[in-house]
Amino acid sequence: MTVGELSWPWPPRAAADPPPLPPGEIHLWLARLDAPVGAAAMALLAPEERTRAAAFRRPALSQAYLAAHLALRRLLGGYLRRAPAGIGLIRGPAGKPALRQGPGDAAPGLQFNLSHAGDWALLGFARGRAVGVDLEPLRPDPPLEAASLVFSPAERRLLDAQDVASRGTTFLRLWTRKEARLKAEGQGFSRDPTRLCTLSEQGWWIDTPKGPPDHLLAVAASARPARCLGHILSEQIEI
Amino acid sequence: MDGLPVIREAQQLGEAAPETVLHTPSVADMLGCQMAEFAAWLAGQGLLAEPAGPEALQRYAVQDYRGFWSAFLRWSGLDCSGEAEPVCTGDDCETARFFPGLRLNYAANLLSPRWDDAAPAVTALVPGRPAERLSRGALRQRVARLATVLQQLGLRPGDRVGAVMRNDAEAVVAALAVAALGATLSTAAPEMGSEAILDRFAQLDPVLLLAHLRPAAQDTGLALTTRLAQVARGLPACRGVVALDGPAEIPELLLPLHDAAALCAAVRAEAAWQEHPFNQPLFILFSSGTTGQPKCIVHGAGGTLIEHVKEHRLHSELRPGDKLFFQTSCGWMMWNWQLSALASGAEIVTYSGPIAEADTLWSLVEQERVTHFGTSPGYLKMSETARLHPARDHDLSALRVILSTGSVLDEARYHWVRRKVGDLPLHSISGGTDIIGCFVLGHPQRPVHAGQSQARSLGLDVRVLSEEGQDRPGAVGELVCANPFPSRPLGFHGDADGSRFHQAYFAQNPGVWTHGDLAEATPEGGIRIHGRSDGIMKVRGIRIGPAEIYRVLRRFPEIRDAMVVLQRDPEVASEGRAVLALVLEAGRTLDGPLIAEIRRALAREASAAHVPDLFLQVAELPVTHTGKPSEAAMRDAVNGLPVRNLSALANPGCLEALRHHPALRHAPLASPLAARAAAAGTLNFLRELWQELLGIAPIAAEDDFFALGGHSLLAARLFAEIERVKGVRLPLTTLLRAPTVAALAALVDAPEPAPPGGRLVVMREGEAGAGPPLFLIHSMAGRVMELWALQRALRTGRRIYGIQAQGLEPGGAAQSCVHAMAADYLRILREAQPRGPYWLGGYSFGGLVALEMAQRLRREGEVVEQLIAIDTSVHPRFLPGPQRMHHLVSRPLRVARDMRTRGLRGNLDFLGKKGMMLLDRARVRLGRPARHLDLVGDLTADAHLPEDLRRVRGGIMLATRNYRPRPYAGKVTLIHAMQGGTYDILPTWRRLAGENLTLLPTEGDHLTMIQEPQVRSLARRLDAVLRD
Repeated sequence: MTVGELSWPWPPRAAADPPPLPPGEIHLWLARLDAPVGAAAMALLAPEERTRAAAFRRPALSQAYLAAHLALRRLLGGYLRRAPAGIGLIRGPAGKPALRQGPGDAAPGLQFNLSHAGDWALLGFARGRAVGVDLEPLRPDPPLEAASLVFSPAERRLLDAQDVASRGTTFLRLWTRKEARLKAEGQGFSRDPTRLCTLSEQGWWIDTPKGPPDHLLAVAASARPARCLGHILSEQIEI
Repeated sequence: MDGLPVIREAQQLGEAAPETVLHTPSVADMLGCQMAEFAAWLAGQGLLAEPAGPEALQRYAVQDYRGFWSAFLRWSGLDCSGEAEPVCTGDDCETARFFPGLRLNYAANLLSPRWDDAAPAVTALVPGRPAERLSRGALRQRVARLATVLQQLGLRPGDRVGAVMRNDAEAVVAALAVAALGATLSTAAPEMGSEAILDRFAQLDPVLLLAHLRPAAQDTGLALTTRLAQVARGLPACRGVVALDGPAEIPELLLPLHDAAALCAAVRAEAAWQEHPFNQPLFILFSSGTTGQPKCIVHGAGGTLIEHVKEHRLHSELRPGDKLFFQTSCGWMMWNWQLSALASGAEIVTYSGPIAEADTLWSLVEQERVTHFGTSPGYLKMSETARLHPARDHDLSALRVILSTGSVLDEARYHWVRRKVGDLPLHSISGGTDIIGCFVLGHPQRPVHAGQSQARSLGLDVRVLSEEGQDRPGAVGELVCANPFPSRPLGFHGDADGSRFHQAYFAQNPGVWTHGDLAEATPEGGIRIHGRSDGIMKVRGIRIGPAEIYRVLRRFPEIRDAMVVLQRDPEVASEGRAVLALVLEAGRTLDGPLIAEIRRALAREASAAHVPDLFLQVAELPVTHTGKPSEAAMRDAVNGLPVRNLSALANPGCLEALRHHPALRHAPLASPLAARAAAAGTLNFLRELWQELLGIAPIAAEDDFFALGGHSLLAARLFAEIERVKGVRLPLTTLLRAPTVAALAALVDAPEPAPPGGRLVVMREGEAGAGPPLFLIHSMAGRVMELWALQRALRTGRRIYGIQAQGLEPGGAAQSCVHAMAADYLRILREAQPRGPYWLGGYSFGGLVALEMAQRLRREGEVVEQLIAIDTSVHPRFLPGPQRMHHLVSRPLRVARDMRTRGLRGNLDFLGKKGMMLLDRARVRLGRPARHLDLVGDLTADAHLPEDLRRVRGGIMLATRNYRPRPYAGKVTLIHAMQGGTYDILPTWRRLAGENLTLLPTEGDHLTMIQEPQVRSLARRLDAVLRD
């Protein structure tokens, strides 16, 4: 199943009321990051998130980080039917966020992933399957010379087969697929990315749906979903 | 009519090399195809003796080409008026004109009412939208309306129109509307930058610009509307822009912007279409020349139409009701070629989206029930690599012919199509933008041989001129056409006296059209194209045209002149490295930042393969007395050969400087940038690099990469640059561990002690008093970086050293003998730890070297406390009886299978390489150094690896083959993968180590055991061993 024709329905949807998420589905959310994060919203974030945001040299980066993680918490709150502020998040070995499991907690089975770049954040949610997402703005000068560091031989051949005009887009498209795939697994680049080929791997499902203009999206999952829905997150913070 | 001679002829052609025949036409195909119908018709007219097979038909068509084209015009039923005589003025290919007395309308022929109006004409597939299907009647109506609109906007016959279009229905309507009015169309694809578009259109002075303006998901760079505004600014004669895909706004546009759809809806009466002269210019295409701006190649309407109809109907067996889908864009000649298929009553399918997955086009072929699928070698290769099986996974029952063009189609692709797509004719067609058609094509009556095109274009006197003569089977030579042909372009735009036209095609071999392709006539009667013949270099298997490099260099104001040639590797004849010689402006030197900038520009605007291996600054380039730069002279000098045309040069003295340039020595030498970095220190180098990449200054040594705004793409760029300059490849994950300049610099540098060439690496610092260090030997990877995940997962306090292979740094050659390696590595080991007790180990091959090192140490009286072999195996030759038997038996089967897939030429090549490799083995046995280490191993699977790594791997494979391990008396721990490989290594180690062997199983297989998450299990085992 390809989700190339994913529609992002209007009007934006509130995080407190996401559509139900059965096990075969993946939900993708787009959130804008340019609205300033106010004090009330800051209170929803965890202390380590605020500290990390403060470490950014540029205020715009800080802002984007806060907004992206705020969106994540709001959506987690919506899917788990909990208050956003109380949700415990931990980071895996390569930095992938996950829900903290307390000793008595029933496993919610909710998997998620977050990616943000520029003015947008992309969030993916699924039950019972690992999910990874990546969002990249279409840059005019992707690092083509790094292809041998990150792409498998087959991916590099696909890249070289493109004519010069399409090579940049193809590079970014392959990059987002690879990032989404690695993020779904939770290993980041601690696995040698050149040994993993997103073009021909069995089992994993990777797709590149359409998204905001001038951006490329990729979503990867450990099993093919029956359905993939896309929503735009409303900017009203539910307190 | 007795069709037997036709079949017999085809069979004789096929008998030559039966195992390369991949498709044989059936009797029904051979007798029922349009080529046979046409031959029969000619016989009926008394022009051809019957029965006539393909050879006889081609002979007639070439010898009496006037009669042939006149007959074909009648047979094809093209709509025209006027005098069909003379057919052709003159016999000179360069100046002849066809049918000067005829008039026709290109668009009217494509939309002829002889086919049913309800029949489908165009199916346009655009991702994200439902397919747009136009019937012939609907298409004709839309074309008529748009033509009326364009006429109202002032478009007259002979005017030129530029169009920036996506490959969809509107593009087809637009092209036909322009053609209907007798105007001339020039197209570009929307992916091109505005400079590239202007490079083309500006020379033409178009009066109108047609464009798609709506953005699409796959657009990159500046918005389409912005680029179009820039283009419009550069076209002073342009009167307006016509938007083809709905109302749009271009704020910066100074010209009127017309909405085609709105204007068409308002059309009341449609203008009539006139017939125009046969040679009225129809399309202007562009070809990048070897120097300067693109050539504007003008093609006439009649010549284009009649040649396309011939190629479609006779060669490709296209009939009314067939469906042609060609993978193309509006920037390429195949778009125009495909368009003309309407003139044969066929339907065309267009697709304007990206190839998101390898399967995309096969799905479209199935979905649209395409009968004729046109693709490229690149896509076929991609499908093969993705292990697709289109015949099994798709309903391709409608598909009858596959066409491929764009580059040379290797034999392997033919075999793949046969195996995975079906018993279908695969036509490798080749020609060019210059002739808007093909010189070689398929043929419905001839068998398909792997690696060849079946036939020369009918009526064209195509020949291969080589030193051995003309059309000698097996001889590679220049592809030429010796007789006049209608699709020969009318000329270049802006070339009033025809001198540039003459220079481009008629100067090399007088009287004939020289196409610039290298080709070979095959014994089977076909043609094999070898590629372009003009200055092309083959670097690491990729064809690089110098023009592509010069185009990017033109932007650098520091560069006055440049020349790039191939320096051949004395060891491997067919490979070489690209050497770029630069003459800089006065006072400028070729320093690190400039080289880095040039590298980046080439990688970005051309490709990574276009980045030259070597940059030289020279005072002047060799030029002839007429001032023309001589690449041939420079090539000779750079390769150490006597210069062939010394007397023809105006400045022969400059070659001495070139010949003795220090950078041309074959040992890989530190580039100026690397030298600079070494001098300044890694820390400063990294700091400057970060500042440049992140756009922030100053950066402190303790600043965190991600806090500075770094992201993974920037990290990739950073590491690529580190690898290029320092020769050190670090995994991107290193940044997680070492996110600051200082920490990263520490990892990039080889820390103390600095042994010869950085072969000793401190993988783990360790704590004082934790015990003797562990020395780990590299595996086939040559470097110990692959064990970094293991190192990170360890808890031990011991220091861990890694010893890397010789041959990956300057000043060393790959080794191919375990004994020699052991001796060499012991020297390195002793510099770090002069006296025992020693702890040695290695992953995979490393374990063998460690074993030999341990043997030697013990013989010298040293104490080796532990030898740790991590899943180390020996060559199957040295396995115990039953396993060795299995290896011996299964080998011929593998070899046979590989030989089958390789094809005849591939096998000859392979056997040649294997022969060299066997000679090398003998050499090594006699104690001499090996010479062809890079040929050991899987030549295809390893082809993408850099040469030095291939040599190291080859050396290791040879070493493994020749090393017979002897029993070892010390303590051995074998940590082996639980998911074993083909052969069980336990019995071997039991035999070698006896009771001193400790076995520790660990998770994963041979490869995954050193990766997350299985590496944790390995780390636990290793920690346990190191604790004792």
